[in-house]
Amino acid sequence: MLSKIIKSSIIVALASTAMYGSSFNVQAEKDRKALIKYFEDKFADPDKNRNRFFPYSTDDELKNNMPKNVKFEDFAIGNYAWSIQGKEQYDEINEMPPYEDYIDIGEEIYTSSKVLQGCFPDVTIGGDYPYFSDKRGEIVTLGVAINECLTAGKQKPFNMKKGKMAHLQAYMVFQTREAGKKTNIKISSQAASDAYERGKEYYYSQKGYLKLSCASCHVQGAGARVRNENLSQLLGHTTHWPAFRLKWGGKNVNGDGLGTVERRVQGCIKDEGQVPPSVTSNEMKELLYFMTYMSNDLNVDGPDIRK
Amino acid sequence: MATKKTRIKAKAKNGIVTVMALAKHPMYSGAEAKKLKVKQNFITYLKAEVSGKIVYEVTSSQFFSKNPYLKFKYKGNKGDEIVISWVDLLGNKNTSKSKAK
Amino acid sequence: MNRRKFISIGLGVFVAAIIPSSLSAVNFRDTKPKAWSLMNPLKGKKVDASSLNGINSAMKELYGTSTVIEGKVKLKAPDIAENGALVPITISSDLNAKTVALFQNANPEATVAVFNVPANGIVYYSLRIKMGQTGTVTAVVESGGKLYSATRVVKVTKGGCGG
Repeated sequence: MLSKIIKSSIIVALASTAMYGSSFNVQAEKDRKALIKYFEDKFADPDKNRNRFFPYSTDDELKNNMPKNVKFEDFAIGNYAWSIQGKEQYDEINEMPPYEDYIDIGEEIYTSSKVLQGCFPDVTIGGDYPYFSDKRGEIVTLGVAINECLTAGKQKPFNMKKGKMAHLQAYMVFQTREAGKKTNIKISSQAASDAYERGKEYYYSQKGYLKLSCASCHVQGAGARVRNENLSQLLGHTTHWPAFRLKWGGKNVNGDGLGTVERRVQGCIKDEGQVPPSVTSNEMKELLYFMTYMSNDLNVDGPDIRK
Repeated sequence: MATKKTRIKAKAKNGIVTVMALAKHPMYSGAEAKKLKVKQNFITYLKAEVSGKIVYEVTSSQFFSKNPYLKFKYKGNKGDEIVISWVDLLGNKNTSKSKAK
Repeated sequence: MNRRKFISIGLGVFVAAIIPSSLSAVNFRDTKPKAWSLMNPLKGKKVDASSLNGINSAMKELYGTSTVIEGKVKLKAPDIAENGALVPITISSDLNAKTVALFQNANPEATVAVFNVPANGIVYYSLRIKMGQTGTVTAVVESGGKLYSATRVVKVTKGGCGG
């Protein structure tokens, strides 16, 4: 009798989960919606709201360089969404972006590898990573998935930050973009929700000798300028990886400026006087899980140009 | 690195063809060549021809960005076959072609 | 074809054709070799961004004069470059031009590019250049025996975020 009650209550519990979708993302959804509202309010009229949001920006910047009414989908292009100067150069370079060849190279890597084709029969999966694997109890990022695939197929794994990994991801993400897919991160279990919360905590914790959190610059500080860097916003941060950074292109002998999100995040954390988590660590993966969830519903638009 | 083919995009509209091209070359500046201990090399001259007539020609320098980009316009039509050829400081040559859409 | 035979300005005379490279019709590296090694003056170890002497000398070497008329040439360049390795530049003009040249004082040598404009050609050239530091970019259009120019200052910063 008791077992019947337990069984039926389990069924009811599962059914209600199925009915209302995953109830494990309730808090995450609250966070995400609040973030969108914050940024839309912030960039609605920078000049008018300067006291509230941009106390340190100059007259010239607010009146001449920042457009009004930046909306949800616009935020995916980073600070080009609200810096007219930067957007001009972005548009010019995008007429014929320097990453196009690498998409072809990435396609070659894929089509010449039965192992990769076996693991990823559908390459339009750029918007589904990172995901929480209930079976393994941990986050799987695209880079980790690719390298685990290669290792299982007795092939050498790629460097997680640039080179072949970036080229292959460029191809996969480009196909995802062409298929019109959106960022679609799921939180479907308590463990996944806990991982999200840990990532969120990292994002909002002050660290290092500069006592900066990611949020200091990319939530509170978004829209402000530090020397010649216009601080970009968290919303839309993950939609366009791997990105071609002009800075990386200038440094690379062949002009290959493509890098993965891990490359960028590690570089940033290092700049803030902190030791970055390793690219395959739980810390890194959970941080990316949180960040990517924040960009849910935005179109996958990689690869793209950045400074 | 993969093919050295120049990527060409050409669009015809109202009797004018707009051509965008991305050549493949490391374009070493003097300082970079010294640092990498390689022979300095960069595209020194590039031209575009349609039916044997030159529609664009530039004498270039190491100050073009890596994988040099060019955009130009000429009076022409859809279907034009545009042939882009370049030569570099060490005498290497490359020719690529594409049709205007 | 023969209108390339000589310039009617200054002392500059250049001969077209008979170029060693089998590709070129007019290769300014062969006809004006000195223009390509003309250096911008230095201030200490860096190029002196406040001096236009290098640009003017390169212009003189190429055209025989550095006397220019401001106007009739549009030079599009960013006020602050996103990155000095890839600065997008566009030169355009309605003038019926013979040649178009681009100079700068952000790198050791002053001459960046010289375009030979085909007969009836359109002056519209976009390119991406390297600038080692903040500097002045000058576009010159040679038309009807005169030089027209436009100038922009482009700020370039080094370092920045993210490794």
